[in-house]
Amino acid sequence: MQLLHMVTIQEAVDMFRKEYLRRSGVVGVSTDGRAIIVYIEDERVKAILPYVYHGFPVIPKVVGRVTTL
Amino acid sequence: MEVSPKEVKEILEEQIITKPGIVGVSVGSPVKVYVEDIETAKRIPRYIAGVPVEVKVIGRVRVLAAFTSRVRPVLPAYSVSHPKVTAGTIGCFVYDREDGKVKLMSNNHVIAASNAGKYGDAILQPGTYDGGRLGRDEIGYLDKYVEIKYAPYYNDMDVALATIETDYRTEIPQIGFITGIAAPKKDMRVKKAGRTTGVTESYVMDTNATIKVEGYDGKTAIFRNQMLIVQPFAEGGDSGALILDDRNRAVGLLFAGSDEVAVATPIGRILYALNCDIISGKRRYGVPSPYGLVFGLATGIYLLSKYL
Repeated sequence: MQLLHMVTIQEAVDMFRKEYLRRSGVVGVSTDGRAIIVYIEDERVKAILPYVYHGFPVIPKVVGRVTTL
Repeated sequence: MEVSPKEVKEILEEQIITKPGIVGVSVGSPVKVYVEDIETAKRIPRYIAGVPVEVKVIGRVRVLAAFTSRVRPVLPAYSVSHPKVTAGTIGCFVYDREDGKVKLMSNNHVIAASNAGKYGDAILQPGTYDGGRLGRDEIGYLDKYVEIKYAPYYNDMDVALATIETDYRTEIPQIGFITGIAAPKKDMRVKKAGRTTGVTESYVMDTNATIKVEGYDGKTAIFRNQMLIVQPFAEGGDSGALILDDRNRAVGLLFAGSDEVAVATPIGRILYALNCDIISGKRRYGVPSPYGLVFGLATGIYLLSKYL
């Protein structure tokens, strides 16, 4: 029998960050402990995001472009 | 009977401007009365002392440029900048444990010109955008900063310290003295006093976000473990403002934002990295020094090995 490695939420967030943060329109990544929170520039960016990542729901939130103030 | 402009002005000041909903008046012909809303407009007479009145609804007026002026003694919340930068905000004053000197804290991109600043560069109050000039408005010199690394590398904070060579006070205008340090928590109520928007309040929506920030000389920098605050809270020029909770405990240092969120670094991490304490009145608030922790650990190990 093969044992499956269960990915923790933090491991999933780290992998998601490496894979998606470099993409245009993705502004940030975080977690609420249950899901991966993805901060995006606008609604169109949702199209490139998965609904689920390593078993954890992906929740996009539109925040716009972040700049120094 | 002819009424002089002076008499009209007196009537306006005594009978009109003090009423709720009146925002302002302008003496002339016609007299202009600025009001917050339609309901208030309906209550304004069509003539004052025989002079026609024009009513304009302009909404509630708020102060936009709250802390842009030159101020001595220097205070937190006021405008500051490196000579190559427009303007940001003085966050607070700190005691540097390494040399025992008091320093001013703000962002790297405000007083160290996004890594372009050099040790000893003049720091201006007010910032250049608010009229600060070399030879007249220096308040100190750039002392140290945490270098901003550009993507794909990660940053922990956007912070810099400058010496303070003039009189200063640590009390934050319209907020008061800092009473301690607190870690940010989700839904925590927070406030700040900043150069552009003055004193504002909001709440924390995230305490551990990794965020891409643009605006560092046209480059992008990634910051990890940052707190996000719901807008409206801050605008351009508020960078460097200290964020406090409702008990006036320091929580974070503001440095970026979008239409929806403001971004800040938890203050405990900044104080730890720079090995300094916030000064508030005669009190100092800090976190355990990294050297203190090493010393304490070494002492503990020594004592354990000796007695066990």
